[in-house]
Amino acid sequence: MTAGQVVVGVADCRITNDAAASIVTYALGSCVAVAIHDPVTRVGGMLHLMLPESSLDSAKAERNPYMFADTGIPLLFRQAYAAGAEKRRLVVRIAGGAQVMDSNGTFNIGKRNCLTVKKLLWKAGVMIHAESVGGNVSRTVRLEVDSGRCLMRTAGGPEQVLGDRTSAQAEGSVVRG
Amino acid sequence: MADMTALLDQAAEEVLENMFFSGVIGEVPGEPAGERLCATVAFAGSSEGELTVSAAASTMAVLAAGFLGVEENEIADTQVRSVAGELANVLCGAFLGHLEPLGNFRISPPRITDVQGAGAVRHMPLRKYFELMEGDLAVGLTVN
Amino acid sequence: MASILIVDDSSAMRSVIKRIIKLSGFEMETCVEAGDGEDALAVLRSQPVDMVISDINMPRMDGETLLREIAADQNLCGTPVVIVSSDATESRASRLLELGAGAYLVKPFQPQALREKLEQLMEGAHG
Repeated sequence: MTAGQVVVGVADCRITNDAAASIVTYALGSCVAVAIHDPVTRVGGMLHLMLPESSLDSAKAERNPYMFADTGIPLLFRQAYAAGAEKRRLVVRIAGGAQVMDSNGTFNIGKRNCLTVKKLLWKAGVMIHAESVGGNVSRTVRLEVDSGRCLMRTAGGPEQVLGDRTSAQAEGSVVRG
Repeated sequence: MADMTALLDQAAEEVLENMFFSGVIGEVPGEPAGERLCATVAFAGSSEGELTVSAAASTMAVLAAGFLGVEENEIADTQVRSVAGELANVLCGAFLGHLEPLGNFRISPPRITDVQGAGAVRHMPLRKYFELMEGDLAVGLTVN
Repeated sequence: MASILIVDDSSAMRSVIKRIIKLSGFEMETCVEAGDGEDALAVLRSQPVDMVISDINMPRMDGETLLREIAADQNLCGTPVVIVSSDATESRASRLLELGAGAYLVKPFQPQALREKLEQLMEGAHG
């Protein structure tokens, strides 16, 4: 592990206000990472979720709420507020939700994760600043706590900044707009 | 007609995913019986016709909550009806944009109705019965 | 401080646009609503408006006619107009951009897509 790196595992969530830190999560296939950053108090947070709704398995959700979007996302935000972040300042980016099993999946879990995350954020009154979702690539996402930059890498590719403008950066990303 | 079905599928996916955060997960054999909330728009110009969407009121309410960004228990009936109308409007526009990107169209304001029993779209030449995460959505289309 | 006029015959759509404006953090004094082009013109002629966001297909006066009226009125012709419409044809989009619309956004759109269009127009307006 690189010094200053806070690693977020699968079905995991980390918050930090250590300005020297980067928060990183690896191998996002159908999972979705939600990265948030307050540029004033320099609080950063990241959630790596696997599934959309906790009603799919409430026992699991109780043991690990970070597994599901609807239980994990509220916790991510609450923990960030507790560390000094303010909702209206938060810069939110999402990545992942790829189709990884087969390339002609009809309504695959990656897409469903993505839609559920977007719906939850919209209902919570949070705008998404940038996204890289869909396609069939595996992604690694890193959030620099000091600068607030969010960087993404796909397997074998170079690190790119997940821009301030929303863009369908992934190959074959379905969602327009 | 086969081309129009594919265009309607594409339009439905775009509309439901982008503005309703929903998606088509399959098809159902037809419209279930029971009370349905329907919205119809008419279009004219390069082609003319009508598009109708039909769903159970409970399904429309869930879709409407997603569209407006509110919880399902916060949504009024008038809002659900307004969203149903906008669903028909946007779906029609998306379909026509794929059908004739260089065409010229006018889309009428939506007409909202409550229909008892199955078959709100039964009489329409092109019918799709989508299965969504939230329930079923029937879409009927007439293009002249 | 700014005043934005939202023109759409769908109350649901007006709610969504208002919500996006609010959540985007634009400094807003007022968000005024109108259900069609005629009501919109009445608002524009009675109070200062910094930006118009308008649908196209509306009863009484549609968005294209509204845009022509704005362009023809020397008091209103500098007002930035964003068209937000279910009309996805290229012909309509080119025509309205030629008529002076600052941006044309096709429904369906994600919330951040409208935010980006508004940001671009506001940046343009202030140089």
